[in-house]
Amino acid sequence: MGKSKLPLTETVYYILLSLIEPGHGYKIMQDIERLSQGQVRMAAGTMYGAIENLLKQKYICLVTSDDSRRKVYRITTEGMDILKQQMKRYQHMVSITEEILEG
Amino acid sequence: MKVFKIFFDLEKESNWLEKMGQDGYILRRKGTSYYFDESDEVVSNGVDYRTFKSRNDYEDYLSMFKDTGWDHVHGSKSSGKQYFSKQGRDTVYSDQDSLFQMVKRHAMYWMMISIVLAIAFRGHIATGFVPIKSLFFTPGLWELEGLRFMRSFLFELPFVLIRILNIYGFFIFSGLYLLRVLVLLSKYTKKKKYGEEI
Repeated sequence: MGKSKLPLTETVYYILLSLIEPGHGYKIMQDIERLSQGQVRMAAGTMYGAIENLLKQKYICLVTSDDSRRKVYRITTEGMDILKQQMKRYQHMVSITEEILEG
Repeated sequence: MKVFKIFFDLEKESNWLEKMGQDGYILRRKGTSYYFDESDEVVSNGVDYRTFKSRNDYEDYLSMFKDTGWDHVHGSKSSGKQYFSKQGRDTVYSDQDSLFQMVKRHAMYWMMISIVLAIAFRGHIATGFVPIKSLFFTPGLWELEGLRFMRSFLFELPFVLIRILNIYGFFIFSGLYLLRVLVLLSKYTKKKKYGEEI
């Protein structure tokens, strides 16, 4: 992601959110659809690439799965860290916007 | 329906497959030609470029597509190109960035092969490639003059062009493909600079 790790893209944010609960690729895609209320959509090819990137950045990791065909992932502590950092940024942006709009 | 088409450009192939899907043709088989079935319903076709280190990775990749309703029409662990089709409207990539990453992967593969070939052909390259004159096999061609020369020259020209294509075709093709990727790259980074939503 370059020098600055923030901001996270919306898709990455939702993937990390989804993987607080371990799951495989399709489960992540369903979660994203549900959590974003249909706003964010990930196609299969994009999903696979995003997972590979997040593994490389060590924001997610593999867990042992019963399903030999499907790999299962979960968020790492680094992933949790960056997720919370992004959340704080969003919170800040929302609060100053409200201040300015109501001020 | 059988369609014979050759694509060097992965982006163009992807767009064409998508359009075929919009026109109601679903990809069923891919050999040297594309084989479609006609459908009254909305269908989608797609192509991805990716290679895998382990069978495990490949199975995981395929299952992600299968779970979202795609049929794997053609491809293997190391074939690179993976063809999919499904009922309904869908795409392999949902954003420009990941689509571009795919095109880049494909281009990198061609570039690697070009480099390997360049090393293999380094003797040729060092001597400035084969002099074009020597690719004309007509004996005594260059001693001829005027109309007789023109006739013999033009007669052999198409064959010489084929010979050039055979020997250097791969370089020419890879070079052109790489050029196109560089153009895409510059277009893409320009978009990113001006903050266009990717």
